[in-house]
Formats: sequence, structure tokens, C-alpha cells
Amino acid sequence: MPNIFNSACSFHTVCIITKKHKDSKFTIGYLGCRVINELSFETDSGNFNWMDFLKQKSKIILILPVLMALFSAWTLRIFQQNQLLAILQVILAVLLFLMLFSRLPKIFNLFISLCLIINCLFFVVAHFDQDLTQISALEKNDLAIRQNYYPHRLGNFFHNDYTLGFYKLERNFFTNLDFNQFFFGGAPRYRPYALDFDKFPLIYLPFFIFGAYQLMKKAGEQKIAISAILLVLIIGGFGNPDYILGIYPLYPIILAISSFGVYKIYA
Amino acid sequence: MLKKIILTLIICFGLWLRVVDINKVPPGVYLDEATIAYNAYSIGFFGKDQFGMSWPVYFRSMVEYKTPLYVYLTVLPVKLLGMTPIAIRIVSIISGILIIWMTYLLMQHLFNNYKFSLLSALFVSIVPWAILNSRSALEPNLALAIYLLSLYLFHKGLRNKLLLPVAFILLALTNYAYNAYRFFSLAQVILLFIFHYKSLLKIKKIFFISILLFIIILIPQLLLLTSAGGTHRYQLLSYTSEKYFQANGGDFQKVPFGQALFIVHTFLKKYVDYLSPKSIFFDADPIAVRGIPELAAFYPWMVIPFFIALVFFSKKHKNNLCLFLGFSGLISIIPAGLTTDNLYEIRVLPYLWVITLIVAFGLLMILQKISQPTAKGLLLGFVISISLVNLYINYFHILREEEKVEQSGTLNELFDFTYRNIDKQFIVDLSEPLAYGVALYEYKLDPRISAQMEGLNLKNYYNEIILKKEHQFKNLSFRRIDWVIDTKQTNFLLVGDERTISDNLVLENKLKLIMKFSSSLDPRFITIYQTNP
Repeated sequence: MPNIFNSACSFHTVCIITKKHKDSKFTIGYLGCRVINELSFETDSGNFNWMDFLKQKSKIILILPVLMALFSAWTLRIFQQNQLLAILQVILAVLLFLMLFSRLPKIFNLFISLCLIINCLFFVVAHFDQDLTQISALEKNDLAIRQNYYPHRLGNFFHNDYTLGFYKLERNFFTNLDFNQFFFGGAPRYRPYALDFDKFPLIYLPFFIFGAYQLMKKAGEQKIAISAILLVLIIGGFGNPDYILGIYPLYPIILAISSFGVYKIYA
Repeated sequence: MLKKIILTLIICFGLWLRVVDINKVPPGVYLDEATIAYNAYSIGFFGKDQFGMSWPVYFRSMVEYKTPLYVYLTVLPVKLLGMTPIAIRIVSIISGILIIWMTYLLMQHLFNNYKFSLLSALFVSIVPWAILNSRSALEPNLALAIYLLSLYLFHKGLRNKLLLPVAFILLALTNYAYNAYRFFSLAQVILLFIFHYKSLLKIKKIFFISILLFIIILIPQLLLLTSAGGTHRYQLLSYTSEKYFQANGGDFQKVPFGQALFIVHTFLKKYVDYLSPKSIFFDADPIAVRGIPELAAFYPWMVIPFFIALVFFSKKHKNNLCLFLGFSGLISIIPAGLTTDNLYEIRVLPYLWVITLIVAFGLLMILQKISQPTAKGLLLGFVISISLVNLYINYFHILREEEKVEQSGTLNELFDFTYRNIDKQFIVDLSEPLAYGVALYEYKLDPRISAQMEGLNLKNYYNEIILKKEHQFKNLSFRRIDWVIDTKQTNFLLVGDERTISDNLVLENKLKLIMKFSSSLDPRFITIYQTNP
């Protein structure tokens, strides 16, 4: 949405400079609609028009994920820390939701996916998990003990500094994949990070499961979305899982899938 | 013919994985295993359990009641082979083999696809949960084997109706094999009826007789439903009591219907944990005796075929048989979700079995996409090799060493030592109260003496779970150390751990260290000190 707004602004500025249109009806909003109207694409299912699209689905698009975001403790936690970041995550959730339930042109799907990945990359750069590259004295000790249990030289092969780093990365990655941590604060089973909190209300869980199921069902059509989600999960594994706001690049994914579940049940 | 040869090879391979080094891995005999063995020994030789009760419906263990079937089935092996690890575990090993065989027969009967049936049987023979449970004397493995047999006979019984009563008798017997099946078997009866009511109503009479037999077999348990024997296990583990809510309710205590909400929240939390791919494919159980170090219930690579199969099932979910198996798996998690324990795989074996089938199906889909037979063989060989290497390292090496820290292995060593020094007097004061059970097993004490020592009023057998705190037999005395009197005795041997014998007490009383039983990984150890050196 902000990109369309920016396009409209730029178009308006250009119009003023060239003085081609002196008519007062050329306001930003009007121009915005003109730009949206211009943005029509040939898709698999025929001609895609943003105006028609927004007219049909606008209420659900705007209200559902935003409404669901309002009832999430995670939104509040991020908002308290950084308002801009929270708004950005909600926007990303709305965009991903849009991508999941409608057949957008490929270029938009790619753009949204890119936004999600860039968001995750920013997180990883800012909050890289230092534990992946460092080995504590305790870990070294455990490593040395376990190496002795292995037959012959297999110990060195299976348990060394590199494999330990890999195990940690694997742990991070599958912690991200563990949807329990988003709906339940504290680990039912041991979880290395005691700081986690109830990120989303428990009532979202069935919607999330149903949304994920529907997404799986349409795996063939949603290749881009699924690839983007998987990439975010993998890249997110390099981030610090102990970060006070949690792995926030996953926020849009969970929120969008839950909203998608609600939409599918409603539909 | 080829199918039979392959199945035989799979079963032989499964058997080998279940018996190789069985006396060494897992190390020692667990407390539960020791109790089972001692009770089987007691029943086999004297017809009474260690408390003097004849053929009980629930066996009184040290601090709980156990289902009886495993004990009764262990009587013969213990009689023939003595109280050895192989004798205690043989029922579990046979159950493990039966599970592999039944998996093949059931899948072949239900889906008539021998590739899938063989692959399922192969995976059941090598998955960590199946190996772990088949190599220890654990009741759930026996219960799963009986359940699968009953399921197979039930489906056969829809055509050959004489098998139907046998299927229901076996299903009822699962109640006596493992506590969780008291709910699961009933749910199964309902589920079987829902999915097969058309066929069952055609054979009303035989179905009615089968249900009647099911109920008749449950009568002994139903009569004890309200006794401690019937409820103690649930009370011990559940979070539904007011007392538990008061202690752990947290913020729920402040809201209306707080306890109900707390129960629902906790249940969902526990239940969903079993559904998480992370829990079943990647998280090794942190408690040593419950799992294999660094291995979850499945090998990590299995997550790929699992998801592939899930995507397939999400598109084609109309198959009644798949739905039945799926529901059975999901229902089996309910009793586990009602306990305070975190993910505990032995409580959900039917669910893990269903996941194994899904994994096998996913791999079959991958293999079918590959056109070249050599590539198929290589892929299958590769994943099996990876699995076996993982198993070999984590189970046969790391587990063997690390599980000694769980006191069972160390306790075996301790009582072996005290037995060899029968002329010396030991005072045993351990923070693990169940050590007494291991001592009974190691000493093979005449159960009549143990029953006399306990002096239990048999009328209260199913209602009194309190165990005497002090026991004395042969050269062992289980009691608190009296630091004033005992330390003044000459050459008394005090057995304790870091919680019962602190370093200060050792210095104060000038105790001499005689022996230390420990593991290289864990600082916990059991020590023997001599008084008045």
C-alpha cells in the first residue's frame, strides 16, 4: 500500500511540474485511484484489476489480520519496544495474507516474499545468535566426554566444533518450526529459552492449524508463498532465539496463516 | 514368495536390533523392571506377589499400582531363565517383533499394497521409539502389540466373523497391559463402530457377543474402579485436582471458572506438544531412561517424507481407513495430555505407530517419483544407513554410558557389591526410596520374607499405597542414618548419596571412603563410608 501511495505522490508532483493538468480534481487520492486503475495485469485467470479486487475484498483484507494483531500480546510487546517495527510487521502480515487468499500477479507475490525475507535478514543482522559460533567451556567439556563414548575415531567425526554449531543451528531452525512456542508461554517440554511468552491467544491455534492445513492443500498454487515462509524459517534460525521480542520475522507468518484460517472457515 | 522372504528378513533384522547386547544396553535394570521381575519371580514360585497377595488385578509396586499383564507374562521366562535382563525383557522383545509383523499384515489387509506394507514394517523395525521400547521391560510395548493384533483380527473378523470376539477379547486385555488403554480401548470400540457400523450391524449377534466379552473381561478392573489401585496412577499424574490448581494455577486463580480454564489450557498445551514436529523428530528426551540421547522418537530425516505425505493427505483425505488410523493416533494422545508429565513417548505409542506409517508412505511417494531402480535402491539404502549409524552411536554407545547416571545402573552395581560382601553390615540411606526394590531384585530375596517384612493387611491391598520406611534383610538395613549412634559403631558401612551424606558429615565423623559408584558425566554418585576407621 505505501508503494502505491508513493507512486501517486510522485505522479502528482510530476503533474504539477509539467503543468499539464491544472484541473483541481487532480488530488493525491484521485491520482492514487488512477494509478491503481492503471495497474492491471494479465494473470492465469484473466485480467487482474486492483480496483475490482479491492472493491470485492477490501473489508476482509484490511480488517482481519489487523484485528487479529490487536489481540496479540506479541504485537503489544513489539509496539512497546518499537512502534515503527510493529506497524511494519502488521503490514507484512496483511500483505502475506493477501498473497495467501488471492491469486495476485506473480510480481506482487515475489515482491511480498522479498519484503518478508529482507525483514528477516535485517533481524538476523541486528540480532545474530552468537551462540552459533561460540563454544562455552561447559560445552567443550561435554564434547570431550561424549567423544570418548564413541567407538574408534567416530567421536571426533560426529562430535566436533563444527557439528556442534550445526546442531545449534538445527535446534534454532526447528524451534522456529515449533508452533507451540507461539501459542503457549513456557515450554511443555524443555525449551532452551525460558523467556518466551504467550505470543498469540490460544484461540488462534485452531485457526492457525486450519490455515496451515489449507495452505498445504494448495501447496501447488502457493509455491512462492511457501518458499518464502520456508526461507524466513531457515534464515530466522541464525537469529538470536533469546531476543526479548522473540523471532519477530515469524510474526507476519503466524498472523497471516491464522487470519487465512479464519477467512477459510468464514468462506 | 519374494514378499515373504523380504518380510522374514525385516523381522530377523528387527529381532537382531532388539536382542543384540540386551544384557548391556540399556545398562543395569530399571527400578520398574526390577519390580516387574521380582513380582514375576514371586508369583512364579509362590503364587503370591511380594506383599503376599495371590494373583492381584493390579500389582502394588513400591509407590504405585501397576497393570498386571506384563508381570504374568514374565513369570515363565523368569522361571526358565532366572531373574536376568533377557528374561525380564523377553516379553517386550516378542511384542516388538509382533508389532513389526502386525504392521505388515494390517497394512497389507487394509491397503493391499505390499510395497507400502513392507516399508512400514521396515520402518517400525528401525525407528528409535520402537527399539527403545522393545529393549526394556515396558508395558506400553506389550499393549501396542496386543492392540495391533486385535485391530488386525477385527478387520479380518468383518469377513470371518468368528475372529471378531477374539479381537474384542484382545482389545479388553490391553486394559490389563497399560493404564492409558483403559481410555484408549473404550475409544477404539466407539471408533470401530463409527467406521464399520454398516458391516457390524450385519453381524449383530456376534458383535453383541463380542461387546459382552469385552465387558466381562473388564469386570475385575471395574470392581476396583474407585479403589486406590484403579485411581492412584491418575491421581498421581493428573493436574485436574483442586490441590494442583491451587499450587500451579497462577493467573487462572484470579478469573471466573479459573480451574476449568486452567485444565483446558494445560491439556491443550500438553496435547499440542505431541503434534509438534520438533518434539517428535528433533527433541531428544532430556530424561535419560525415557529416550535415546540426541535422538527423538524418529530420525530427523523422517520429517521430509512426513511432510510430503501430509501434503498428499491434505488433498486426498476422504479415505476412511486413513481417517480411522489418524483418529486412533490422535485419540491415543488424550490420556498422555491429561498427565503433568511433559512429552513422554511411551504413553503415545499408537500415535507414534501412525506417524511411522505416514513417514513410510511419504518415502514411498518419493521413491515412486524416481524412475531408475538403482537410484531408488541407493536412496533407500542411504536413509537406512544414516538411521542405523545414528542408532548405533546414540543408543549402543552414548546411552550405555550416560544412562548409568540414572541410579538404576549404579544401584545394580551397589547391591552387587553389598551382596559380595555379605559378611558386612550396610546401612542404606539413599534419596531414592525405590532403591529397596532394586535390592530385593539383586538379592533374590524369598518373597515370603519380603511380605512378612512389609506386614501389609491384604484387605487393604488395593487401598493402601504407603510403603514402610524402614526395611532390614540379610546384611542391608534401609533407614535414615543416626549420626549419633551409628557413627559410634565399629566398622559399620554407611551407604548414601550427596543429599544424605554431606562432605561436612564425612569430616565431622571421620568416615573413611570405601567405594564410590559414579558416572563420568554426572556429579551424582553413591558412596560407601566406613565408620570408626
